[in-house]
Amino acid sequence: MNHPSYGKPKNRWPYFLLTYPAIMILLLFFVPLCIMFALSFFKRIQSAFFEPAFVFENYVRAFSTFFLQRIGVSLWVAAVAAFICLLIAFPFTFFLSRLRRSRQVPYLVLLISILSLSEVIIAFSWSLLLSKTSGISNLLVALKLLDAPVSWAPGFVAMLSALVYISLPLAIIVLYPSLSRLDVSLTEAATTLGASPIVSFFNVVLPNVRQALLTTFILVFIFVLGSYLIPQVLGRPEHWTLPVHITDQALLKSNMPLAAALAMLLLIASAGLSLLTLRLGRSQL
Amino acid sequence: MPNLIIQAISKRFGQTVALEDVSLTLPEAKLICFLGPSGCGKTTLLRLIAGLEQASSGKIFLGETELSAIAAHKRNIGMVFQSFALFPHLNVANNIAYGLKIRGVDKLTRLKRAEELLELVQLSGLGKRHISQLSGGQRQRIAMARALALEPDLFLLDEPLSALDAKLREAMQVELKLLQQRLGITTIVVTHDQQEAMTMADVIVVMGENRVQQIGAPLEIYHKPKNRFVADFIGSNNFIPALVKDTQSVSALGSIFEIALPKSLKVGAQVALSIRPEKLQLYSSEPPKSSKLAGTIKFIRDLGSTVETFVEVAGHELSVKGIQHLATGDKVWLSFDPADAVILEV
Repeated sequence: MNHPSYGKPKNRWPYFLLTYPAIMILLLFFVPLCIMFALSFFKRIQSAFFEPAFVFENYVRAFSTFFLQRIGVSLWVAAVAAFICLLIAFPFTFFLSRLRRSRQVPYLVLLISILSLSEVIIAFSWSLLLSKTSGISNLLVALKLLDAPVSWAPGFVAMLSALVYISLPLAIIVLYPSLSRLDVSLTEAATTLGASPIVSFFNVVLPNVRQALLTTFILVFIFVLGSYLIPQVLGRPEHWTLPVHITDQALLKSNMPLAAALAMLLLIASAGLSLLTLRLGRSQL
Repeated sequence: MPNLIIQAISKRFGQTVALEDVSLTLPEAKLICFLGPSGCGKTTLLRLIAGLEQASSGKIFLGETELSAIAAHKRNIGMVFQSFALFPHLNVANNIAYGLKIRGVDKLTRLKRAEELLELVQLSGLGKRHISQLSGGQRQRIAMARALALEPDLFLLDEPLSALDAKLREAMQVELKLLQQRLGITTIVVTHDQQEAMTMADVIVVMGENRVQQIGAPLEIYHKPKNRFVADFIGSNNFIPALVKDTQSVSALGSIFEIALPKSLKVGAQVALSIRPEKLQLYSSEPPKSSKLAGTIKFIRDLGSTVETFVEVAGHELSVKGIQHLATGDKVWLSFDPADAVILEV
């Protein structure tokens, strides 16, 4: 809707104020991205570092079966984690938003405090919890549910659990506004029109929160795609996501150009998938 | 269509009592208004009838059928919500046809029925519109059309007109009344607006303090309020403290009034004599009437269609409505027909 007073500002101050964030984005985001892009074409020198050049050998290696499989694994892990995360976050947030306001606050505070934990703490806590020596399997042995303590980490389930744990608060906080804005009388209206609770959930609640679910899915997907420490600590090498390999190349193998090329691929893959998902979501509305 | 019978319904939300032992028999095919101040339990009672709340005790019957034993989505009740609750993801026609779709009616029949209902609420041709493209008044009509699409046994409306501006509200009151008369569906409207209730209702149920205060035709409620709550809530009223002299008269503000008294009142009991402002007459000299009071004009305010005059009589302020040619400070006489006065227990 057009509002007459929303026209162009009379003086230039508002534009001027925008220069600060613009410069910051340029310096902290765009410039490093350009450096990385340039770096991905540089030539690696064995037993030294790299030298400026314009070669495609980094991309040729990045497109090798090994790294393509790594990208595949990364996308798969991110998708599974995001899906499980939504499966937990959606019902939780739905019921949370139906509680009285005063009851909701403690839960939200708790969730935000989980967000403040660093990935390092979370990764090592889970690794301890799932370890053979001091993990929860010892508790199960004490309860006579297990015969002997087991080591559950590293493993796919261990890695996935920690990834879901770290992204769950994020998912809930993103879902919360649109779920709490959902008018309760919509489902009540469906009820008076003959819809059972299950029917009204599927044809009234879901269509009205689909966009929010999709947005949350993409956000968690990208968040998990970029995670490095949890797959490193809790996953086996075959579950390692691309960021683990990028770090491996950059820090251990000193192959910065290849790391840059892999990072570019990861960036393009996640951006492309997000755009595609958003486009799909919009066209169905 | 049978009567709606509400039997000793109570409803508590935790410690809070919303309804206390409400029993009512509501006539079929009439427009009934639940009228009361906010928080009196009128919306709760409507939601209990719709099945959106469960009663703490008591039963609801529609004729022989026990409504309170049927799940909400199987009751065949049409309801209009205060927020209208139209589905934002569906267009107008699909909103109206939602109930039909749930019942598995085929698409062609659904669309035909939606068009019929749009015609009924005078919005023909708007079927393909999006809900966000409708005005408040149009949304209101669509919400009614959707609720009526299944030919419900009961048509419930929760403060249906409160979201509309004053002019539109008045037009819709008349329209809703005409629609109800045409369809002959038992209709219950919850409202806190007494003028709305007076305009539309065949029967008004006055609710207050979580119980039913009085049930009756609008004029009966206006002229013969059963208690102080009803007399105070409906219209404006003067309450004059009075004392029962004998079975036929009371004394108030130093005068004796001959009035028919309820038999239950004992001689010497404290009562209130209530009289509507428009039933009081003002005189500049002593009138030859039996029921009269002498006083002084304290304040006059011109309301356009009428003038309200505040007269002080023996330390008590009374409001009088009617065109007068008097000024503040004038000595005046007040008189009324004893038949217009109502004696209420205090």
